[in-house]
Amino acid sequence: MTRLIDVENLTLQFDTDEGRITAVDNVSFHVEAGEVMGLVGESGSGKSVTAKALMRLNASNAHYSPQTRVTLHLQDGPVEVMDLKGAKELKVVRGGAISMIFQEPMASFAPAITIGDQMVEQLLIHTDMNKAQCKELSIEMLDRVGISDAAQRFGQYAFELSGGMRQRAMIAMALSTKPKLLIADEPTTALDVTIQAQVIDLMKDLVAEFQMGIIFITHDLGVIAQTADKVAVMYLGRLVEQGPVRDVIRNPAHPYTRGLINALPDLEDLDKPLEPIPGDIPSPLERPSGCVFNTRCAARIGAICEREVPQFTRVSKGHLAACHLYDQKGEGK
Amino acid sequence: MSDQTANPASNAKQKAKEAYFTASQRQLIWQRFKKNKSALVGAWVLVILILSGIFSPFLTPYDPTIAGRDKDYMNGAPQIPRFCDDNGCSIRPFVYTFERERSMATNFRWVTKELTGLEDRRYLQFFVEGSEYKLFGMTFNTHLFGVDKGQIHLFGTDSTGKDIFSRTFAAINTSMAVGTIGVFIAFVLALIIGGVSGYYGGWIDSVLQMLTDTIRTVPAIPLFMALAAFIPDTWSAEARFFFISIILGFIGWPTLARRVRTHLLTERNQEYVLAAQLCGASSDHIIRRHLLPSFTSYIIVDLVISFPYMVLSETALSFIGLGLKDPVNSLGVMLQNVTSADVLLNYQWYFIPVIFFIILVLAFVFVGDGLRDAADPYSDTKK
Amino acid sequence: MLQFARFTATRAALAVLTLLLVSFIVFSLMELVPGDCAERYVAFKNTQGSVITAADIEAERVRLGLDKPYVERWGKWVWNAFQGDFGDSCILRLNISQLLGDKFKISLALALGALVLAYAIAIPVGIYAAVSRNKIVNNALRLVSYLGLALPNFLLALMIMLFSTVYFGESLTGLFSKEYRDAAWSMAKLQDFLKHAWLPIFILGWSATAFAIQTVRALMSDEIGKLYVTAAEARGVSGRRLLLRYPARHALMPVVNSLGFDLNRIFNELPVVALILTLTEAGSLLIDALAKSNDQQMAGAIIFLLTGSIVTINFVTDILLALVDPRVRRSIMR
Repeated sequence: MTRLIDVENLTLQFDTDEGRITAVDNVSFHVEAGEVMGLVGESGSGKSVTAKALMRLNASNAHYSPQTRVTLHLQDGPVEVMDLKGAKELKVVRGGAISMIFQEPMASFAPAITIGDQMVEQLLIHTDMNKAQCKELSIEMLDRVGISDAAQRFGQYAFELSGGMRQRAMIAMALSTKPKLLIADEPTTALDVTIQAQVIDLMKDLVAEFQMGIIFITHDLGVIAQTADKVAVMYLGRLVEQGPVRDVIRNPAHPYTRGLINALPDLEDLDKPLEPIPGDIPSPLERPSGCVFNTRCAARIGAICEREVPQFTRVSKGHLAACHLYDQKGEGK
Repeated sequence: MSDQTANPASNAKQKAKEAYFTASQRQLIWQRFKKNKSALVGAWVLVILILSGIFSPFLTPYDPTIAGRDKDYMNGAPQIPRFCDDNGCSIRPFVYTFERERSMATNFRWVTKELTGLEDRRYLQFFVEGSEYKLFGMTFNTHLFGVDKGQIHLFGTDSTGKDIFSRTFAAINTSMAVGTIGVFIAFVLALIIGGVSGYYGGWIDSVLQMLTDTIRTVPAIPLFMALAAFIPDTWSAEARFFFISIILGFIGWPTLARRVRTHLLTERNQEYVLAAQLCGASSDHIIRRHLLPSFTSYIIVDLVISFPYMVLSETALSFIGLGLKDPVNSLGVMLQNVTSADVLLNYQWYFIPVIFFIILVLAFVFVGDGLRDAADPYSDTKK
Repeated sequence: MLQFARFTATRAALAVLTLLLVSFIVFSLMELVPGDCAERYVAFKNTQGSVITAADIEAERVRLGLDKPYVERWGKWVWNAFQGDFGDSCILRLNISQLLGDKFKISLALALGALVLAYAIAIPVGIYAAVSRNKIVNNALRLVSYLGLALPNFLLALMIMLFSTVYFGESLTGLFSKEYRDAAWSMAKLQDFLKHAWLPIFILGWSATAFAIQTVRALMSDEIGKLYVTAAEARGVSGRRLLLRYPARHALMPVVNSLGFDLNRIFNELPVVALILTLTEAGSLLIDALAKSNDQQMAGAIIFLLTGSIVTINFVTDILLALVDPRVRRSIMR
């Protein structure tokens, strides 16, 4: 499988009125063509910010550390995303080789511009086609994602479409430039379950057809289990566990992942009380030292968890966890 | 629960957090307001100006009406007290005695000559006895400062000799009073009409809205001019004063009523109202403890922001001659004669009160803005 | 198309209704003045030395039609008013439309000029202010908008008068130079007018600009934070196109709505500014009509015209908004 994107040591801080906040801390992962990677975490874990970093979409008060490297592997050669300067160069990661779809389909379309206009605009920016060709391709894409009367819908506004249709239209728009990587930021959260299923199926079909990679951001483990090939779990800006989805869900190694899975309702025993992870996610201004999860960890070993940041250790094939339970430091406990 | 080392620093932090979470709405707003420096400065300035307006008879040396005029010093320039001159320095500040003359030779303009001899000094005195005035129902005659001989005019005098310094602070008081009454009336009207409109909705709302919008469309000042011209000259100054305030209130209510109505209409359908109803809360309870607090802060902000408009409207009208008249004193009244070329060229100190008013209005605007930012619970997320 | 025509017709009907309501209020207020037109005229004649009897007053009344019932008089007045005929001034005994003549049109021109100026400045500045993170720019703009609020137009006019008289020795008053005042309109007169008109337009536009800048800035700030702007950026849209086509276009739509209200504010300031700058047009005529002579016919006519302009602008902006905002457009079409 060809590697699509390599993320190494992504560290991102924001300048705010309250000071410098670390939003993402030393995150590394990679995505292959045809692979769906799930990025899981609570609100505030930094998943959206990480994804946006791949497209350099974060606000101007964002500061990337100098060690951050994001390498996009294109047909013509690798592209260092962090070195891109200016709108023209950034085009390639914005709508070109990487596309993004968002949680609120209604809010992601400009209210006063037709869907068709927005789709054609994107194609005009990224391809050499003329307006008529762009229009044709856009209608084709709308049809491909399962929107009936595509030609009519092309001239309509976002508020005239139903929720599910909007989401499909957004997918159509994102894929019209044939990107290599699709980032889906909570695409199903705002949809009801039946539509959710349809959209997920659609995405999987398209992945197979276009050989794209997808980074699927969500907090819903169920959706990940269905859709993803591998999963990465984030907490407070750090990756705590990553691996093949089956492995991670069946044998979660990191206490946080375990906590997440335990918090799911048990279908076998409907009367069983729910087990949330105790405590609250700390404010980004008060990041715990050492392991970010140590303040809420049920499996806390001792002082070492507060002192040292755990590195990734191999739990099984392809399955890594950043926890002192597994590295030499915590052995034996 | 993880261990918490008994650490005074973290205990203090814990206490602060609890205080934050259990604070009342007013405390929260005050906290946020305090952080806004410009609003805080504005608030201080406002308090100082309001107090000086209320206590103006004490703070200023002379009666601001025609009764207190200085016949010897009409259209006189401001007299700045000094401490030192060629004859030596003194602890007490003083001003000079002067001689004035005007004749054909000077084009009938007053020419003032200051006498700088030692015996011509007029020393500033504090807590002097002067003209009588009433404050809070009691009569006093002590003024903060004055001079031992003659009169002192820190801001100069106008064409009849009235002391501009005294008039300025009296004017601040009058304008604030007119503004307060106007705002109060507008508020009451807006609350009733907007409240009924927003709470009942339906056709009552449509009719009232039509009425409100129509009144809002008519430009206020021309309408006001039409109304004010109907005041017979025989009315006393106080009667005029109240009439003007009432009219200001009548003209100001449509905008406020609209805000109240819009707010009520949206809030009425909010889920928290439904939740309260489902819990069995009575209408009265919902209105008092849920709806009212949700927009009290907005209404207060609106009131504070509309205050300067009232003051300025009254100023504009008095300036034209359709508002207050002597002996009631306001900035507009003071500016009535200011456009003549004579004044513009020679007596620029007539404009000093304008500076005070600009400061007053600016202070209101800063405070209003600060209040609005502080009262909006979502303002943090807008950054 | 048909629905759009229906929408326009409804809006027009509403506008007319509003004007009728206003005329009712204005007419009633006129009636409230103690003493009707006949008495006043007669009193006026009295001061000129002629002797008047009660019978004369009655005759005057009948002549003016003042003995007819209220509703009938109102109806007649409104009907004529819509055609631009306001009857005769009570005191001056001259046709009001002739007296007002150009003056109202000039007032309107000044007011509209101020409005155009205000938005011509406010839109680019407001957009820039919303986007810029430059502290200096932000603070400067805050200062300007506060000054605009605190320093109302007539005070500004006074200050300008003060400075120009003290430093330049002349006051910039009047709308026309002597030769052109009563001349017929021509290119030369227009140029003369423009030379003098810039000051009133500037002063009138001053606080309108301050308000407009704040409004545009606030609207832009709101829009920029919205998801569709990020989404557009994520698609590769950039630079000025990103700014103008996405948040700006959407932020400016509510601005259209406020135009009528802005005109209202400008009309509020016009009379006093006109007085200070000695512009002899409708604004100062109003002051004369009311303050000096209590001429309620004239006053009524002027207020009707002013309100009529505002109602017309509201109507136009309603239609404009329907054309510009697809949400409104689609809701009409249903």
